[in-house]
Amino acid sequence: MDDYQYPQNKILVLSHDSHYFSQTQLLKDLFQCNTTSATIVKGQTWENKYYRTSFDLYIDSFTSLPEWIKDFVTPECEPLRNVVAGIILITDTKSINPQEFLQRLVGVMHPNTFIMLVNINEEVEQDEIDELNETWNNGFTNVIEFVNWTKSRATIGHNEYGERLGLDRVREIIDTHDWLDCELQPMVTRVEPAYDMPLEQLITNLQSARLKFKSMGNGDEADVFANETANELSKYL
Amino acid sequence: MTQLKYLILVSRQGKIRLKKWYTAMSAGEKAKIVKNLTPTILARKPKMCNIIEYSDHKVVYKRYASLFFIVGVTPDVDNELLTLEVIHRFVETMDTYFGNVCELDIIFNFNKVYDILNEMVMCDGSIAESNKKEVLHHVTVMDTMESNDNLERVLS
Repeated sequence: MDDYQYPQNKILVLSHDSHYFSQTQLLKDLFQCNTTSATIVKGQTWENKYYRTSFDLYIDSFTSLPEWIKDFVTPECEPLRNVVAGIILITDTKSINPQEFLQRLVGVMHPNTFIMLVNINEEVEQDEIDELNETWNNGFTNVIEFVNWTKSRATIGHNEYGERLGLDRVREIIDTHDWLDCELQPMVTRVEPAYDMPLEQLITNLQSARLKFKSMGNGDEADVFANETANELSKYL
Repeated sequence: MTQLKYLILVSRQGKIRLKKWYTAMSAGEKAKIVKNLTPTILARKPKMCNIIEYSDHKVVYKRYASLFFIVGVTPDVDNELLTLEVIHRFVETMDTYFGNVCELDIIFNFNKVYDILNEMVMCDGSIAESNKKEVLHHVTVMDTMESNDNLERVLS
């Protein structure tokens, strides 16, 4: 019984009390969640072109970050830490010391948990964020990422390497996250370039599929066959 | 003449997305290369040279978006600048095949990425085909055959 692993499917969105509006905006823009209070939102869906999975949003705020971390790193919070897929901290990177925040967290977090610091300070340039990323990208098992997200200046598009910026980068990190012990429903099985199949052959295949379906009678096997045939033939349409 | 030793694809966070070895090495040697090279290259600043010396060979790397393409090359045989072109051609081919390739495409279609790479680079590390159209044509033919096989399997 002890071997059972709970799905690591909670995303914790955290911000200072004073960043309430930014938090609400991020929840809306990123997760299409209209919650306005610190709470747990269950049954959210994360979807991209390859998979769909469900997750829970844990929304929290703090008055003092060191105090919040102090509580979060206690042994009592270990079961929670183990099921957290990622932490998104909405903050002003100039007002907090990332070292203080990250070094205390990475030691206790599950190695698969991503930690994202979303900067909302308008004065922070993308270069400063890039420097922080260079400093913190190396030597940790956890994915640690700084992202710039400001309203007055566009933090969309790509940087010099073609890497996405702003919330698009946050989406990319969540997309590429290993959802441990979570059920991923495939959206498509693989990239399907356009194939050419002559119409006559397509109709012949449809006819033979129809005959086979009829010979199978009603049942699960016939349903499976019909679904598989529809999936395969639809690639040619 | 090109004689690649290996190609490693690693994300900015140090996660290995693809590995291809063109010379015989023990599992320990491979693990050592990955373990040593990954932090070394990720720690390098953007303006630094894309060619470094490692052990008895040279390593050429290039970053595209959040991915680092790391290639080990044979000294005195390989041209490092040509290797950069090979990396770029590989990325261009993937870009055309997937339509603006991203890390997620590589994670979920790693078999296709290997197919593209195998069409471009032979198992001994030499270049087999540099023409993007040819490579894509061969991969598309393989896709068609695979798809036809799937349909025949379902209908049979």
